[in-house]
Amino acid sequence: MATAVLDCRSATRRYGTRTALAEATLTVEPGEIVAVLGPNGAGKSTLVRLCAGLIGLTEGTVTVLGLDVTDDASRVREHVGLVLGDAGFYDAMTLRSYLTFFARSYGMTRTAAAGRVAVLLEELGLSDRAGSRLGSLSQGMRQKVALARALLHEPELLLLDEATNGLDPEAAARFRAEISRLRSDRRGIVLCTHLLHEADELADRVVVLQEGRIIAADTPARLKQASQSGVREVVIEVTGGKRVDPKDLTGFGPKDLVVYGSLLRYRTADPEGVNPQVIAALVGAGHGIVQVTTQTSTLEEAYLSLVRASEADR
Amino acid sequence: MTGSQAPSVWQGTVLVAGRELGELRRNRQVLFQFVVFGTVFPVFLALTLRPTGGAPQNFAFVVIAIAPHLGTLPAILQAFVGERAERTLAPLLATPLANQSIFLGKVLAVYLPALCVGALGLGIFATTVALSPPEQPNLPALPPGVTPESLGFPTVQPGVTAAQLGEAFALSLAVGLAVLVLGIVASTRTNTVKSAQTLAALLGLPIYAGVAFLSFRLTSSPLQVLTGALIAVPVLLLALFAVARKWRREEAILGRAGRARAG
Repeated sequence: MATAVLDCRSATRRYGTRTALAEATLTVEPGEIVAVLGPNGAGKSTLVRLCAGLIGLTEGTVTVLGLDVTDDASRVREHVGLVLGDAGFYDAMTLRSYLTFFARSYGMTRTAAAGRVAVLLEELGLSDRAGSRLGSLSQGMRQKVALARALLHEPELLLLDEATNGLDPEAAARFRAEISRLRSDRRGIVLCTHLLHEADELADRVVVLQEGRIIAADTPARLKQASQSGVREVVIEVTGGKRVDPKDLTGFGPKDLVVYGSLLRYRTADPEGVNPQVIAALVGAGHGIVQVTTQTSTLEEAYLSLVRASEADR
Repeated sequence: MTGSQAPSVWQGTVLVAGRELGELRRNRQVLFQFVVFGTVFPVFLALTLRPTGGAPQNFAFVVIAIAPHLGTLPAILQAFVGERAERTLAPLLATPLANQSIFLGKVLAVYLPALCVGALGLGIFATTVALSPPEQPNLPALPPGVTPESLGFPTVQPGVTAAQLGEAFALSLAVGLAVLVLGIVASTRTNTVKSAQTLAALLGLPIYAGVAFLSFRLTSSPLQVLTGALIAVPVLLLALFAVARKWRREEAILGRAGRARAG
């Protein structure tokens, strides 16, 4: 089995008496994108900083490709790319000189750095702005620059902390497309975000942090499934036939059945069992079925239910 | 990975210092001070003070050799607390550059230019003084054929001795290091450039007082001054390297107050 790109075991970080991250256990395999969700102050940034070797652990271990972030911090940084949503730039530098500086800080020769910078500028569509000062770039472009900087040394672990913060929807979509493109067999990506649709779109697994503790870790599909174990809403659109009488359908188990013209809406805990019976009854009454919509749980609902349940447990 | 290994401490130091020098080059306030203290002021002082020793000459030495360092304090604060406040430090600290490389690169990029400007200014001062015409005694008009020398009033050729220049340069070394230590201490105790400036102004009072004191002592007791400077330089260098060894990424990222609110 391939070595995990990132392996956190009971990672704990305390600032004085306050625990920012408590016994976080998490692995990221090569080729995997793991989204870390959580409210402000949940410990997402602390987790990223720990994994990047920027701050130390209070307890536990964190390894990147088997290298311990405490004992081998410098070597760990050779394998980690970091994009922080709130990081600043050296605004007076040009894009090319900025990236060249960082490329050389990873030990590249002047020639190798120039070549790598040219490739990344091309890939990210920034070539025509290579001579522009960073201070003159839009927020979307600056985030691309941050991504380019993080990719200079082709890291096996990419850490993205609120990387799409402050981007307009179009720029954020383009940025997500870049992240998706960066998924490779040997690279693992950790994506800390507040944007649940972003996590849903990109992540193979989702980790939910609440007050420094991991309260859930699973695939987005399973998290959504788990959260929709209760009652779900069904809407059926029909055509023709005689008027639908709600009383004729309540025997199959739908609750709160309401008819609005050609639309029926009801709630059920068992849509797989109830829907076919309701549809059969409607067809039997001469109706045509235009569409049946069973509301599925979103990652946002799953996330909120997890966070609320965690708060209620405390 | 495309990159080979992380640069050595010295390679990294040169790399960081190069970038910081670029920032310094764009800092108009510091550049202005460098031009003024390195070229304009030495010529002005040499021509106006007509130094022949004593307090005016001491004042000139102190201003020329030491002032460039005092003027770099904002650049030091910007390099440390300023970068933290502007959040540009985290990407740099995420690279495999050694802590010492980042620290020394920032420090040397401020210290060495100020030292060079001080040395340049002293050189210009000495040259201007040497090229100045001899100073005539202030006598009423003399009859033809009578010279001041014949009356027992020798003309004085102003000049600067190598010992004086050496003393001034040693002072420049010591005061520059003291300003660096002051800037770094202020940076580690604060989270904004403004508060760092306030603290540095307060902590810097002994340095400024010492400079004022030295401006009167420089040539009156050259051996003491030189000895003092030669003791101060290694002590301050040791202090600087001790800080470099203790300097941690975490402290640089979070600052002191920042630790409490990091999430």
